[in-house]
Amino acid sequence: MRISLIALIFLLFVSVLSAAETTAVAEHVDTFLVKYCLDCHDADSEKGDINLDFLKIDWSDPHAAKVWAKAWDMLDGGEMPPEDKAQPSAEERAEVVAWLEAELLKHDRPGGTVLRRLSQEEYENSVSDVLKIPFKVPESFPADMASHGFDNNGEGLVLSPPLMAQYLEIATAAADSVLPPPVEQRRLKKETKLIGPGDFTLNFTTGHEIDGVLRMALSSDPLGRASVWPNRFEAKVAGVYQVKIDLSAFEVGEDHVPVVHLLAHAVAGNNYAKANTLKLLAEFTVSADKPNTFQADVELQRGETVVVHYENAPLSSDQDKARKWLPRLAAQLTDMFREDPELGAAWMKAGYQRSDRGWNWLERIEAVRKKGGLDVEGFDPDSPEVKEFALKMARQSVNLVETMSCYRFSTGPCIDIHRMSVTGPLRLIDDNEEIAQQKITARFLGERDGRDDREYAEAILGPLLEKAFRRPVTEAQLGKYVGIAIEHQEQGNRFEDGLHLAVRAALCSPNFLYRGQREGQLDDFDLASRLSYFLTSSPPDAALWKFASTGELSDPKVLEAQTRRLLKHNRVKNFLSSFTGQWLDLRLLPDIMPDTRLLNWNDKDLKAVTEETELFVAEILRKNHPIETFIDPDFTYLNKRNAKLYGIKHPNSDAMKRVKIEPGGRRGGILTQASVMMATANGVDTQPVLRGVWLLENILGDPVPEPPSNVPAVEPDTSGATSIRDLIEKHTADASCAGCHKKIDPPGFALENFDPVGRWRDHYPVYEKVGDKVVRKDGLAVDALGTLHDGTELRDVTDLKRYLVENIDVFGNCLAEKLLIYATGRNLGFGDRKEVERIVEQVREDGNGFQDLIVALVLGDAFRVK
Amino acid sequence: MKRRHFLRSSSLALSLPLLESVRPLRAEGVAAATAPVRRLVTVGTYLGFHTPSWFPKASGRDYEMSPVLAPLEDLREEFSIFSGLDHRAPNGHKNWSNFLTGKGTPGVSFDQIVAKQIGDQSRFESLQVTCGSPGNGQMSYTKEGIALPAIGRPSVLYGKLFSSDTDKARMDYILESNGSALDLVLDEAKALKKTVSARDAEKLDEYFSSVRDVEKKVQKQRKWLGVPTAKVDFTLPDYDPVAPDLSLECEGIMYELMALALETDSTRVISMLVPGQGQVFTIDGEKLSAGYHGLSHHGNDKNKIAEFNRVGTEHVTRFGEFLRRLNEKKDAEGRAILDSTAVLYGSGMGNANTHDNSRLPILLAGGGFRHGVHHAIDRKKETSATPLLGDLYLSIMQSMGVEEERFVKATRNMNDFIL
Repeated sequence: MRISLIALIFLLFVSVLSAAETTAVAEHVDTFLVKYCLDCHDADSEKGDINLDFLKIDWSDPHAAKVWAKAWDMLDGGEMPPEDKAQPSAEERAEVVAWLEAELLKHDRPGGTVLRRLSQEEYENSVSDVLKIPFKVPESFPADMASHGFDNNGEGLVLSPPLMAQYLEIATAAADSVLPPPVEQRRLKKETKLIGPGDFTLNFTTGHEIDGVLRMALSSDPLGRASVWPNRFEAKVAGVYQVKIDLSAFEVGEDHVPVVHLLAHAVAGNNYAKANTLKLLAEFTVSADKPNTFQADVELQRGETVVVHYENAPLSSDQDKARKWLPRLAAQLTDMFREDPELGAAWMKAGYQRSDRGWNWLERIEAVRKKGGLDVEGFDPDSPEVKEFALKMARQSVNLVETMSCYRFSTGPCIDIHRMSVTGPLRLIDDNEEIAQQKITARFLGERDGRDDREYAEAILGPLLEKAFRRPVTEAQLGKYVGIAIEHQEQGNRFEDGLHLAVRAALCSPNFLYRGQREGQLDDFDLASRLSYFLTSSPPDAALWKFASTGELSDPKVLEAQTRRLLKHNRVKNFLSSFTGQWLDLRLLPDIMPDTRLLNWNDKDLKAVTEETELFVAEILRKNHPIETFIDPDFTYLNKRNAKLYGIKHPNSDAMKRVKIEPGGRRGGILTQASVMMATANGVDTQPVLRGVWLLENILGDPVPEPPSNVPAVEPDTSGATSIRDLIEKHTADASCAGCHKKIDPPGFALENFDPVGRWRDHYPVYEKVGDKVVRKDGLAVDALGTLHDGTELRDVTDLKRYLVENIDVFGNCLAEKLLIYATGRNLGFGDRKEVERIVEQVREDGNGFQDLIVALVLGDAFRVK
Repeated sequence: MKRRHFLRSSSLALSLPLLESVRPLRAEGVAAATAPVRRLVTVGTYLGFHTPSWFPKASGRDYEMSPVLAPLEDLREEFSIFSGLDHRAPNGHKNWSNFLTGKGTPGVSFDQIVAKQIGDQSRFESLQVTCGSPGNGQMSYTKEGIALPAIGRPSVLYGKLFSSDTDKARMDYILESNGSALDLVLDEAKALKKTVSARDAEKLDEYFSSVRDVEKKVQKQRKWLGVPTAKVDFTLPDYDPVAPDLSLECEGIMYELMALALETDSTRVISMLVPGQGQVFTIDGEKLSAGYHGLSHHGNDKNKIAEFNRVGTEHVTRFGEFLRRLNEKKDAEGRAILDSTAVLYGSGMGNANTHDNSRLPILLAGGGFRHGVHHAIDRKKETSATPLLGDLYLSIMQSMGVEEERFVKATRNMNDFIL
């Protein structure tokens, strides 16, 4: 007995050791391999890069788990051995599958995320949160590579020298924005700038130089349409300036008193900014026809100049939405004709010709007047003919207004600028930019409260480092950072410079840039990080931090509550756009140009189809709809653009609206949305293989390997004589191709009714040249029939939808795996996938809500272990 | 205001490092290092030109120079003209950006493809320049289709290129203190390496090698700052001519700064958008009768065309000065900078009057290419061999060691025309 006990203990000891490192391949498994597998999958042939010729499995080799998991997939799924080779009996297969499964579950446990650096989006949000300032990386920042479909995958997130150099540069710039270098003292140097009538910038007919003055006749709102400003003056410092301007009124009559506004405008700003949005510096009433000097002391910020605007000029090119401007302008034109009937007669004769505008139109009309022979007597401005003519002219809007202003320059009402001068700065004022910066710095530093330099630095750097490193810092760590700050100060620099240095270091520290430093079960802080970056692409907020600090976050109830809270947070849009954009390949869309024979495509159309999918997925999340909704919903989001694409009646508006649709039909769900159809085509043709592969990868969760390298791409027959199905029939004819293609082609063909931009078609198009136009004709009929490996027949997408809903776990597993890959930043191992299967089943039994699925994944082992 | 007005010798000298002692901060890619063309400048006018007055009537060599291109007569052998090229892109002002992107909805622009490959050899990967406010025009786009902002103020471009002594002092201070920061984070990484798994330790090695690489780069940058400088005379005016009616003046100054940027190897890729809005220009003391935009919609009115051409000639005059500058300035091997700089001049708008973006005005100068010819591409008898503008871009890229096989719809090249 005792000996047996010792032997038992010894065996246990040895087996524990082996379990950690290597497993001997069981005898019955070895026999099976030799009989059914090794012909193709030994070290020499290594078909599909799979070599199973081992007597022992060394689990410390990361490759081993992948290979044996693949073998398990193939055996369990019945895909191996291939149909044309000897098949094992059901029992033989089941025994080997069971043995492999047990070994894999023991050795390929959930987990395995490698040390992960922050992705670009995560980095941006983290810097923003740490320094409490909005922050975006510069254009030259290297983009992340996607690995396994997502750009936040640990393996794919490499740190290279150019990236590190960028991090350092950015750290400096970010530190500058909270702790700027000392500002040069602004010096008060009073200067006077003289501005004559020729020294103003003019656009269109905003002004007219005549008789030594600059004459203005318009009051339109956009600066570039009616206002003038000096072309060589801007305030060099923020200060008070004295503006003098000599103004007179020109032929304004008795009832009109011109009002002139001086406005502040940044010279580098938008030259079509609206006058009524700018700061009013002074208002003058100009009634005299002789020049008077008007004067005002005004405040100008650095970079601003003084705009002159004839605020109440009767003539303006502004248009109101109610279209009252049209009859009003026509009436003004008729008034002009009343003043000058000969002008009216000449204008009616001259009419409007293309590119008549401003001076050249007026000159053409004056030429007609000069020629003579006009019936001035018979010209009646109140007649319906003249009224109609005036309305017709008014439709020329800006062109007419400019021409009328040219006429007004000789008749009035106008204002004349004789000269202007700006003297200053008389005294300095707060520079708005500097004030804003001071506020940012003050908020960053917080109150000193009488502390000495070291204590003050600790009070600032302590919370900063915690926020940056996403966990409490040790005294030693804090001491190091405070140390270099104080040391730097002692070398003769400012206190702020020391902090600046510490901030630079913190933003380059591996503790900031990398997540997941601890193996095994995630502690509360790592859990908070992972959850937060998963659902918001940013570091944990105060609430998450609190639960992590008290150790409560690992309590499933708290973890669930926090997950649900974040799912409702407005930052969940980061998750939605990043996850959906990558999972459904929406990020590819801007590069895909539809064939212009198919349609006129512009940015607004792109926006419509992208927003449809984004809003759709956002609702599924927000309302916790069951995941079947992805496949077969009763709603979608449309505006006039994608509605037109789908042939659905919709109001003529660009606003996205939620719209009900019939479930089970051709429209509805991601398998029918234009965005997905576009992303899985190339703008010109569809390729069933491409769509099939995409479906297997992203919907069915059954990805296939790359095709052999010597297979050429299919060139579609644009004459339409041969169908795409005929062209790829080799897939089914050749046994070595059929292995994968019997999985790929059927679902791909089910989507063939969607053209490269997502419109439904029953026939392939053929394009013919008729005369000098290209005409679209119907070619061969679309044959979308496909038979799945389990015998299910799919006639078109509606059958595919039904199949997926009836077998919802297929999609559920795929979606859950994608979510988990995205959340954990690793490729899933066997243990991960098995857990996902359990979770998907459980969630389905509880109603299959999308939020519930995410919660269940978060509460599972795969998420909670590194 | 003419350029000579403000180019006076003054006590304010420009700091330029002697080119011989400037070593590139990283090892050049082999292809790019031996490529004959090292720099790319692209210039586009937003409102285009009156192409019948811009294109010479005859093709081949010895063509009679067109009226608008007359200022370039003495530079005839330094450039080639191409008529009939475009990207087959959509029309309209909004699609002006097709000039460098080759299509309607924006994608990466030609200059940015080049910048991404050779940009790390100079201080700035690329520069985007305009004259005052750019208005609605956008020229250079990133891979994600994001328009890059352009610098429109001469004082800002000047400040970016030529640091004052205070700037240099601060740069050196930052570089020096970076050393302490990097020491600290390396210590942290060493401590971290002791606690992580073997697999993670491997990942951390990326961090170590990257930080050490940056430390070396910092040393090099400090040396670069300390290099003695040559004196060059250049003065900015005391105001920035950013008012719309001064954009021609601004254009001249920007060309000067661009030439200096290339000479100092601050960058090797520059794009300039010459904007056009409603401004009323004063040329030779005379105010034009209409705003620039109004002139571009000349409706075939003779007088408007004449005035539109006056503005066009002003643009071309300044461009000619720029080419002469590049010919005067020498690189480290003593050759004219123009010889190793490809300069593309034109517009994304073919006919501003009708908003047609086909048959763009295209002029290619420099780069050591074969010049002196007006290549008239026949668009009446189009075949699949008819070159696209993108094919010209592919040729330019290839001569820069940038291997691209496709530019939107173009998949060939125009080497036969320019080599």
